[in-house]
Amino acid sequence: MLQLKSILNVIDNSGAVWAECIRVLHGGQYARIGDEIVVVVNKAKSNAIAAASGVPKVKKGDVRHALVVRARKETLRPDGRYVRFDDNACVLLNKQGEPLGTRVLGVVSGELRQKKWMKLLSLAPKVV
Amino acid sequence: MFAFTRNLGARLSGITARYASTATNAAKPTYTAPASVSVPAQFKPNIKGQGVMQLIAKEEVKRMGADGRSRLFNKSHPECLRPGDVVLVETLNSMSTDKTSTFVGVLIAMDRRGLHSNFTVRNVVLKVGVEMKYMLYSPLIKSVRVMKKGEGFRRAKLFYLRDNPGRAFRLEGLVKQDKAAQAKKTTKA
Repeated sequence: MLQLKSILNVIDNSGAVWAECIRVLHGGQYARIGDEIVVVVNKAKSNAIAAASGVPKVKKGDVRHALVVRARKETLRPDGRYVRFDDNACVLLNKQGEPLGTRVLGVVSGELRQKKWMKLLSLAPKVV
Repeated sequence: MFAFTRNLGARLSGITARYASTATNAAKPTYTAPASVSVPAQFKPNIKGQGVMQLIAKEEVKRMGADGRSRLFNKSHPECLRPGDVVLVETLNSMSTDKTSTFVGVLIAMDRRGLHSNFTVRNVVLKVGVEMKYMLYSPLIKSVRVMKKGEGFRRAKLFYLRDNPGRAFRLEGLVKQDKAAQAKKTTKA
């Protein structure tokens, strides 16, 4: 249940640390796990390592697309299970809708098992 | 509906008994299902004072709990789950595959709601707390195993563990032990 002004942790190696949601792209008020949003990067690390690996350097104030990968609001799965994480997290995307970073640093929700996000899932160290 | 037909049947049986031929009563056909079909255990529900929805719910609980998972929520059973137990839940990925996913964690809540009975398991995975709420009678749950009995938890709901986990979520050692034990079992068998 992420909306305008919601703050998310950024868990890839793009250099951003946390970002604020400014738009939910599917047009509704709330974004859930697997939804694309537009974020403003609130805090970024000085990212010499990322620059070396070819990942575009993300600065504070950058407006980027992102994908919600963890949410504090419990998500319903088809068999009646609920999953809830302790924080809200996202992964930055480029204009083509592909992950900006090359690594994902943390748990990611299994809700992302769509064809479009298989690459992200394979990058993630743990999928719940 | 059930009561009506039963009473009607009782009243009729006296009347029809005089007219029923002994031959037709004796030669009642019985149906035995082929071996490939699994027939669930039949039972006669006690229909006194119950509405239809309550009856249906009870029947469903009996049917889904036929593999004994009701004992996990039965306080008088020694194998009952208690808040604070470290639990391993194995879930089928879908009804059509045998592949399973596993989730280990501390049981922090149990809700007894008949067919909708559920329990919440919490673990800290890669420094992020994850909670999974499982429906006890879901056919996708393959097994629920207690890896360690909880000790010293004096609440029914352990939501305080979200803020004050202490050492409650240091479960890597347990998982390793359990894996070793499972490997031993499979090699023995």
